[in-house]
Amino acid sequence: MTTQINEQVSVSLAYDANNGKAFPYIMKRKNEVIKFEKLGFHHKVYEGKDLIHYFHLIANGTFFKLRLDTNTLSWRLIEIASPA
Amino acid sequence: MTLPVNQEQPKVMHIDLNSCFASIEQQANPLLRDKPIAVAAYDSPNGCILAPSIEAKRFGIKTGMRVKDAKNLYKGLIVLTPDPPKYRIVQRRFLEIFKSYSPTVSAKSIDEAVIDFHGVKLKKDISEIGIEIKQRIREEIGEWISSNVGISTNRFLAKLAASLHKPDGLDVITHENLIETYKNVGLRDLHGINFRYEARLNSFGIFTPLDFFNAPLTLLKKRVFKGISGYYWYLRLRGWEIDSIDFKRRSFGQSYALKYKTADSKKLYPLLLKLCEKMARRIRKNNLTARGVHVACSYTDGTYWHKGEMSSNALYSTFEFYEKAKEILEKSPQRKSVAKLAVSAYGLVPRTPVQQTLFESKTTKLRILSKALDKVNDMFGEYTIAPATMLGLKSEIIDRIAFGK
Repeated sequence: MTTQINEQVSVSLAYDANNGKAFPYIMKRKNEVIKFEKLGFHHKVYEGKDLIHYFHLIANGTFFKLRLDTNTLSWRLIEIASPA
Repeated sequence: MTLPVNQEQPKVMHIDLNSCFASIEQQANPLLRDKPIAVAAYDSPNGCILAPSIEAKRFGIKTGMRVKDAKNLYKGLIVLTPDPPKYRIVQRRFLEIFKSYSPTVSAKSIDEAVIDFHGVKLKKDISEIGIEIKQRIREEIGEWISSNVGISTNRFLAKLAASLHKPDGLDVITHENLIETYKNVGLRDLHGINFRYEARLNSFGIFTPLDFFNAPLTLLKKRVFKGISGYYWYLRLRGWEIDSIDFKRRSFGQSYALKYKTADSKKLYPLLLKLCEKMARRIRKNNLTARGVHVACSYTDGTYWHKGEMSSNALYSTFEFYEKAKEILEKSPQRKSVAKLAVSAYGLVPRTPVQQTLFESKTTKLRILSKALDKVNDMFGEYTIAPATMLGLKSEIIDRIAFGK
């Protein structure tokens, strides 16, 4: 079941110089700390002039879609999906 | 006249992504992997399935089915709505991979492309390059993205080769295995042969691809296709390239399957306007104008109406296209409930700069305004500024995969 959300969250992003990839490894949402297990897909799009990064991740059997606005460096949780 | 089969080394590669949209969704959300899922235009019961996953296809679920019919085949089907930005990014990435092998790459659709290796010095066997490309797609785009590769001497046979072993196959058709390949496929497996062409071929005693291959040139040219097409088929079937021309775009169009069917023109005109805005933006982005507008309606009773008209002036602004499209729509003879609305512009002509004068005409003002609005929407996002008639339509006619934007 997919739920659309638009909630500001705190995220820690790690960058690995060996493979040149960035991975959001922890998210703090309300009082919950979620450690991400796997990055499924990452892509970026221009919304107007703003460069936005989208990360598709899973943790604890739940799917999360995160949005990073490079203009404000703020993170938003925009989608959660739990298994059917 | 008889022509032999092309015996040169195969240098044309056709690649297509397996169950493209569904595989990309499974790549993004690993929890969906190995599950029957489908991407549908709408996730409601009458939504049209755009792409079933490989797992869903095993239950007989096909593109074009309604969601409710697909769920009758597999009750637990997970249905998602499309996310076009992801699909476009994937297309961009795979084209970048292909262009690293040859400058001659043609994107045939959002999930298919052809690489022509003529004139390229190959450092390894072309089949090894095919394997390498499949591997790079998995490594550089996503480990769940699989593809079919077909290799041959022309685009037609390369595409046929790519269809032979799905998913995740790699096949080569050469003069050595061509006849054997034709023995194992049907007429409608050949790209370009639909059920109408099949019936036509059948009427001339051609029932299989092998019959088609063995048919004399004079029969194909003078009787079956009654023209040069017959000669082209004769060449194509023998592995000679005649499809390498990429045709210039002749029209731009937008269509919308209405969520709430209606015959009410007050509800149809804003939708028509939004379709014209999307279409006109694409035309302006390509620095073109158009002289023709075509409007089509598919009705809920299964009937269809369409009309196209040329304008005396070259059309450029959204308002100009909308006025013309509305004028055409008003000519529809019946007021029936519309299921799908489409508008397209044809007669494309490069935009010529307009000489500015002290006293600008309405047309010139509209063009200048259109360019300014495009700049605002490019900078701040689509529909930051939009006609007031489109208020409340944000969730209607959302982004779909037109080929490019």
